[in-house]
Amino acid sequence: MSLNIATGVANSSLGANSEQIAVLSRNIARAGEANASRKTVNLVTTGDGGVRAASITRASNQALFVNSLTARSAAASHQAITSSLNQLERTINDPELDASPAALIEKLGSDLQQYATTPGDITVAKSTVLTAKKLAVSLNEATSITQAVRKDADAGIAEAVTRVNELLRQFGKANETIVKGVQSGADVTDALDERDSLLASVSELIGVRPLNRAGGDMALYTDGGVTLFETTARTVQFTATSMFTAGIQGGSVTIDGVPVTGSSAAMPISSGKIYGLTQVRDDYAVSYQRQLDETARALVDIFRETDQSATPLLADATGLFTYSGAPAIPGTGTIVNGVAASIAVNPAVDPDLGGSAKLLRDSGVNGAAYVYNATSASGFSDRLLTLSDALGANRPFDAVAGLETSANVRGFSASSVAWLSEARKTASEDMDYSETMMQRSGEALSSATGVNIDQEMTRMLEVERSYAASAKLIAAIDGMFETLLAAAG
Amino acid sequence: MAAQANRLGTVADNIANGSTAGYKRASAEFSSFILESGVSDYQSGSVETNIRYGVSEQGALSYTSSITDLAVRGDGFFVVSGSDAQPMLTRAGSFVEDGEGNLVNAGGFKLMGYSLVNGAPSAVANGAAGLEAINLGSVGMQANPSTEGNLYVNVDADAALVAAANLPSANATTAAFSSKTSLIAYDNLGREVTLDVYFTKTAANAWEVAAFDQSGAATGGGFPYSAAAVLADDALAFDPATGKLTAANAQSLTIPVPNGGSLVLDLSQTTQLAANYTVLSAKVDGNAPSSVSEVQIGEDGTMFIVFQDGSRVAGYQIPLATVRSPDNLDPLAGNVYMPSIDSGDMLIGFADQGGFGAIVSGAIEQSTVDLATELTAMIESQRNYTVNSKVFQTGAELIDVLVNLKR
Repeated sequence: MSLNIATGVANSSLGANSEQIAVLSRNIARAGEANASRKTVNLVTTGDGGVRAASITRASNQALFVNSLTARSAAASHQAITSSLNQLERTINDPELDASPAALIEKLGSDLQQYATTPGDITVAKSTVLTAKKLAVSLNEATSITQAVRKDADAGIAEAVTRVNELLRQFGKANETIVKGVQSGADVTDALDERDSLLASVSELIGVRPLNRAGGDMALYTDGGVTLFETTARTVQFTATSMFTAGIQGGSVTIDGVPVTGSSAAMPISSGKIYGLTQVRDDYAVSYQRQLDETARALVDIFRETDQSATPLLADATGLFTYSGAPAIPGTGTIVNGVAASIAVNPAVDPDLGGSAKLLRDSGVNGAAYVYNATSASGFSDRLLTLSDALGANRPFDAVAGLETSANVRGFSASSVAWLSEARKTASEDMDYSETMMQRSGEALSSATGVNIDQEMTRMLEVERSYAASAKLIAAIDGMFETLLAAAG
Repeated sequence: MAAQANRLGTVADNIANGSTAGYKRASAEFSSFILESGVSDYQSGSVETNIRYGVSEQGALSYTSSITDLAVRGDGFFVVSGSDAQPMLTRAGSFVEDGEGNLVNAGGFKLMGYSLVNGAPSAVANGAAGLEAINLGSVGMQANPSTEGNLYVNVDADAALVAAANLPSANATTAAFSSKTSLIAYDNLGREVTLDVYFTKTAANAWEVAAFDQSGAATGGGFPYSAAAVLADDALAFDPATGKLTAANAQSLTIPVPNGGSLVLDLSQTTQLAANYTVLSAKVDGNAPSSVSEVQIGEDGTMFIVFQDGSRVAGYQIPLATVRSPDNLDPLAGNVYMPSIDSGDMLIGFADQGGFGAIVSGAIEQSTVDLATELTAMIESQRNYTVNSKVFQTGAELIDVLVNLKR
């Protein structure tokens, strides 16, 4: 080996060492980043015995990465469900405050009993009507909160869809950089990190399955198998609904022309924030709204008035409680959407609106034919006792509400509260579990592919030594040339 | 003394070209020149100088960051041409793209190659016919229509059956399907065509695969597609024992891409197992028109053009040439060599074949000059020169003595 080649070799070693230091500093600088992976320089021996940095590779573990994506999607869907159910639970309120529909139905029952014992006491009559008004208002408010939760969920879906489209666009750019870089042998490790991080963001919104293809290319499919990205990003479409009332269905999300949420979904998604929000909008909130509507319908039904004529000709009509379909009585055992939104105390009974609270005892809101207390006796309590009994009597409820089909209105309302609490508790537990899973899988991935500062420092010392040795070698060769030149004089 | 001066001349050249890429060191070889002499008297002769070039000596490779820096590991030479279009040989491979798109080395010579744009090159083994200067500018926008691809999926064995009237192939508004995927293909002009591929279960172990052009889909996506968008459909039969396609079944679907070629979509590894619909592999060839992003050169000398979208095509093949006796090549300025009568004719072939060596991209061959050897040669020449001058001096003194005798 000639001195020239020896210089070249020492020089190549310096070059390779500086390349390694550059990569080490990149590693150390990104040590705190969650998605940063450890990069290493691959050295190869060259033809003349020197060394060169052939490529830069990064630590990766596909199985752990896919696990962490799945855990992320599951956690995101449970988080969305839990936070929405927490909002819904506001409708139950603090049971101590007695402002929930269930508590007010109980109170109405006891007020009626008290009024039945003192049918002549106008104060008790007024307080009973007041309770009925509070009950109607609480059902109205619960409905508006429930529909607001649905609207928020719908808006959340629209926002998530916009975000997915944007992320897929960025994913496309990163993917193109990688494909090009792999072809030309450029360092694509940073682009790979970026693509992984974008993928993690997408997986929070929609459950994804990545498919690695030749040349560093990647295709994305939803957990239901719909194409999200293949060479180019597919369009994710969603039209937000501007107004929600009971019975209105929200739009469905379509990806690549295939509906992935809603009842018509051919290849439904099963995790991610969009899935969670859809569950809230189309499932939890809808069921709860149906329970409220059924409760309201039962109340309207219980307080109905019947024609008291010797030969009844007139149809039954709404009494204390009225609603948008009044004076007709809603059908038995069948859901009527929107009753809870429009239920109100009949103005004829409401003293605040110039009505008479005594009509509660006597009836006849709909005219003389419906008056139960024909003689206007102040001690007439039959009607009040009938009403009080009806509150405790079993009646049919529509199965679509998801609760028992035969129950008294008090029990039904209490079941509804229990149903919501149970759903919230389950969702909260699922969320805790999936968040733990997400943390664990993230830690596993990080320890497999992340940067370890200690390791980097050790590597740095090694590189430093090697650099010093190469520099020393160059100095020695220089000394040898000095000697030769001195001889040449 | 003149011979030693020649030798010093080669040493000076060598040292000066110590860092010239592809330079082969020159050396002065001496042979004695003897006059007829008798037994009793010596007719002093002289020395003859022959300048040799160690052309066949392999120089060390030094790696650079430029892809178009090329080196040969082995016996071959690059074929280059100067301003007079005369093909010449060189090992100096520090090529860069000039303003016209030609690859030019430090000596100003253009790299020659065979164009692959119109198919495989017709190389002539003993001549430079068919060679042209490699021009990166000439490889402009290029689009390739899709002709082959694969789509391997697992279809869910437990999927619901779809009635015959509602199959995607019937293209009715009521059409239903089990699974769908979409693929990007390219037509003749390189336009992207999104193909919707539907898999629909028709009976136990029997499926239908149907392909449509997504641009003809109904508003919002889906059925019915316009008549022109209905591309192809076929039945798939799966073996209930293995879940694989039966051997008798067609293993691929031929899709006529609108305004494009026939895309043969390989389905051979599609399975029907009791698992969710999963895409196992999806790939379609072809590329959209895009401008040249960079070039890439393989060990066999194939120069790939990498386009902006990451796809690549073979643009040129860089040949290597050699002669029977490389050391007898005629050196010219600019580190190029001309075949001479002594060296034999130029033989042209490709890298990695029959002793031409391999092309290394991103490296240049260093000068074969070793400074220590040259300095040693210099010291030796100096000593020889000094001794010769002593002989000269002694001769002059002898003549002086002879002249003094006469006085």
